[in-house]
Amino acid sequence: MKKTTLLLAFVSATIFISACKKKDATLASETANGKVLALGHGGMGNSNFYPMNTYEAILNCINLGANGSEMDVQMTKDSVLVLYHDDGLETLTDGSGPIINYTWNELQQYHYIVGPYVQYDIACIDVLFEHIDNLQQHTFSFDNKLLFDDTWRPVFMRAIIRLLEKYQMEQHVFIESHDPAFLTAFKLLKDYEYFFNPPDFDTGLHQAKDNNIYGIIMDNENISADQISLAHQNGIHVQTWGPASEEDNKQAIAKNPDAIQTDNVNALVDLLSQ
Amino acid sequence: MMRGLTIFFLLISNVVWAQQNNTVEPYKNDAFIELLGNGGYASVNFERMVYHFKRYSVGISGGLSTFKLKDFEREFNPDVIAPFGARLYYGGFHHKIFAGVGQTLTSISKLNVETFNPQRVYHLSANFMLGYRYDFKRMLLQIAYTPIWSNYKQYYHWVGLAVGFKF
Repeated sequence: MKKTTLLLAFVSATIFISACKKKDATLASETANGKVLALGHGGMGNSNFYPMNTYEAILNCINLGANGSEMDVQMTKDSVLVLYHDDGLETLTDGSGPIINYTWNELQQYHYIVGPYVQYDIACIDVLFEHIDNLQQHTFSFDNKLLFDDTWRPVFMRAIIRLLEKYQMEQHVFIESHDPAFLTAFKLLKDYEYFFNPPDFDTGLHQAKDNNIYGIIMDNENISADQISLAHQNGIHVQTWGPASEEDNKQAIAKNPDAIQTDNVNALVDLLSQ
Repeated sequence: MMRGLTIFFLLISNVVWAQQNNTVEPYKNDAFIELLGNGGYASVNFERMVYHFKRYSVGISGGLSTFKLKDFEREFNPDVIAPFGARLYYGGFHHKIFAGVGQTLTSISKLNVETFNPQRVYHLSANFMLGYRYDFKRMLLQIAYTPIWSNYKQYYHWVGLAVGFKF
């Protein structure tokens, strides 16, 4: 009987110590929402073999276990939402000029040129969403590149609304912008989860509070754990972007944001699953 | 660019002429690892000398390279890049200049937009070589301008740096 009691005490103590250790390890993952979302930066980040914003990059990111991905959203002149980062096609593809100059059919003749022997298609979000299994289990952050005349903005907003309604993704997509006027105008149409990308934290916090914007998004290097905590105290969510090394990702997690857009999906997913 | 290359090869030619006394090539085969070059980013290659006359020799070579081993579904599905070609060498035992042409067969795994599954895409590309090779004992070092006409669509200025072993 005494032996059994001792054994039970030992097992209980072991379980208690293990639980304490586990609690310590996951503390850093607890945020305003209770977890950190692992998002890829344009899929697999800016130094992967797959170029950012390609179908392959986004799918690879999801298949590695990330919650979703950030993507750079632009619009063709026939209102098709496509993924592309730069101002003009000439920097990353065999085309030239801005996306808005082309229809989706015309745009499909161009490809990402990343080196000899390989080329990748420009991705259309509608096509991508159509083919992702369990789409609503993933989160995407649309970094909206407003590289067109302001008169196109209502058309762009309507295109996003149509897309999110079609795939019932309203609750699974963040809408980002550097321009608070765009976010507030969009907010009058739809109550999505908007993220302001400010020049600095103070501007971001004030703009988000004043305009009742859901959150801010900042370079991981330009925001501290205290600032993220302050944002959370004010009901403002925080996304960070840019960690590339494993150490950078560890530090990003330790700051306790709501989502991290990483350039090293493997490392972030591994760290968050520990 | 062309002027610089011309001066470079004239200088190398002078070095090569200075080696006239020793043109015997005892080894017919070599294997080398090339950084960048016709394989893309790095490749392993085999070459066999098939013709030798005075200061000229001709070699045929084949190589193997890859960009990634897994596809976007995380399955083992490696890209295969296989450059092959012929080179004309001119020079003595230690110093040679060479020019070559060839083809690169590629089998790259990418997404099929219709099915959203990985598919292998096959292409032929043209490759060229213009370089300098230094042989000592059973080792070789070479540096070359190795432009690639990728898929016969896109021209890349490219260079290669190789180190190898003769046997």
